[in-house]
Amino acid sequence: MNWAIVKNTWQMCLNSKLRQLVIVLMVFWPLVKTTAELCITNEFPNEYLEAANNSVVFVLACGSGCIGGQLNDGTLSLVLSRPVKISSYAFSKWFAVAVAASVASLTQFAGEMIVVACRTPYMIDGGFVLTNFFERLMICFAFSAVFMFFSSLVSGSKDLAVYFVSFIIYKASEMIAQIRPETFDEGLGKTLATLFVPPIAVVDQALGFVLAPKIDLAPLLVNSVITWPAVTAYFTVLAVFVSVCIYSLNRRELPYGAD
Amino acid sequence: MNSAETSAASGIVVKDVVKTYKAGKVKALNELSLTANPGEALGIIGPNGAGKTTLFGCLLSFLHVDQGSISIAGLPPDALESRKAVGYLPERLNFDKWMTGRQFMHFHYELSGQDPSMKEKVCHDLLTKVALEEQNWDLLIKRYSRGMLQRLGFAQALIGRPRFLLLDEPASGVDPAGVLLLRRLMRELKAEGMTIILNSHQLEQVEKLCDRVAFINKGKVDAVEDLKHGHAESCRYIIKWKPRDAAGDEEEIQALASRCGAELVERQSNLGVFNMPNIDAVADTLDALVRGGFRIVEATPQDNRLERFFIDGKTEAAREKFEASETKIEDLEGKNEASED
Repeated sequence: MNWAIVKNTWQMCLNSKLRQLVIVLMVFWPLVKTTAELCITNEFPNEYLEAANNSVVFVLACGSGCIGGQLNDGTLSLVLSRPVKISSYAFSKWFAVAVAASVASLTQFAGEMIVVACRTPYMIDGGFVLTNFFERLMICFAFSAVFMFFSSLVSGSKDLAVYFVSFIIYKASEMIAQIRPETFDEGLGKTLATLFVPPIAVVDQALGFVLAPKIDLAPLLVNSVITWPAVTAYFTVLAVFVSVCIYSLNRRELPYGAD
Repeated sequence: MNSAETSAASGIVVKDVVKTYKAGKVKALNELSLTANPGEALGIIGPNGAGKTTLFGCLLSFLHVDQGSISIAGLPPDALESRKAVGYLPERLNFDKWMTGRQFMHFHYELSGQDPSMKEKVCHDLLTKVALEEQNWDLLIKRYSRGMLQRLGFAQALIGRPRFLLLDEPASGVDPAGVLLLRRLMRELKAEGMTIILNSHQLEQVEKLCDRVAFINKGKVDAVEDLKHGHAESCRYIIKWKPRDAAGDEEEIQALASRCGAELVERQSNLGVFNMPNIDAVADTLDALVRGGFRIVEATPQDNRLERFFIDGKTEAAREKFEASETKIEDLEGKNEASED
């Protein structure tokens, strides 16, 4: 871990007006939503915490262009002309983005808790709150690894485009995965559905996990246990994406001059 | 290992390096070999697209070489130890614009892995050394002028007291005072034993600082000129004397000069332009002219050696450039004639 790079990444994040705006909007969004719903329906909404998966937005806001931006403007060349290992650089970037996104997400969480504690304290469910808290943290840390890999592949802030393309593919595969081949009459439609729906369902599951990686803690709420495959899958995604990010940066030639 | 090999091993050695782009279609470096000995200042000169920047990219391990090897103090360029030993000033001064100059220096100091307790002092000393005014240290880099950026970049390159300094157009965009300052700094650093590789289009600057100059063209070293023993090479001098009454003295001057191995190439009323084969010929010619009754008031070199090296077409690059410009002039003349018709 290189603390100079970690601090530099946080400062870079804090110095971008656009990032600040997105994070502030996201932090205050639950308050705005609750107020709007109260004005329209004259009732408080039942959901008092944002879904943990929404923490992905904080990672996007904090991490966009984190590596690609430095590749694009040439500042990465200057950093790597110093005695800094690429693995240390990538690891530090991942850590900095993960912590920044976690802090932003947990600020939102704290805001939501204050709102619900003021308006309807009887609604607070300790187990649900804890689950949401830890799932946010897990998503911030693992999705940061995924997003750092995206950022190492492209220059500038095109990592956002890579994310959105992946998200669109995920949504499309989700729709296709819901098709049941047995609902088709015999014919080309049934054949195609039988042939393509199962692999697309696998893609859907994999992409869904990669784009919001977490260990589902819901079973804990019903006195069940978390399965080992879920834990393994989570840490595998984290380790694999940090590793491929390092590999991608190692293979890459840094833009240097005008030749 | 003999002494020459030991010396080379502690310097920078580039051996038969090949670097291609676009799946081998474009050969940026073509079996390029080069050595920068410890404590030496080596200039890199060549036309645009010659491969100078690619060479710098390979020396800093930003680019992967296809063939050949590069060693810095006996280590590969991507080794952390060799990176510690190298300071680098890029041509494109793309620094983090949201930082202040001081923050930028602190960041690079931390990256260089130096003693944290010395951070403030070292950065202060380096910024003072490059004469960046203290009131600008806490200014955002995006507000810096090109000259200020160049000074900041130079200070950054000196963090960690590197043994090797790679400078890419260090005086580009710097005001005259800055150019003199950078030149003085480079001289001091060289005197301290730092090995400097200087990529510059400013021939005068290269000549004033470097011990040797490598001319690169089409990814190859076209020629290497030793400037340390430079005065043994040819040069051109303008010699001025007090006006004399004697007319028709051109033959006399020519005879005096040719006796010393010099050649009168141009003559105006009270001055002559001489081609000198070496510095001894300059002294001899001046002596002969004084003895011949000419009262010498001024003797100045007409142009620097690197310029002559280029003008005389001693490098393939220079010859090609010269021929290309000649062809262009002929084409233009042809076009002009056609339009006049």
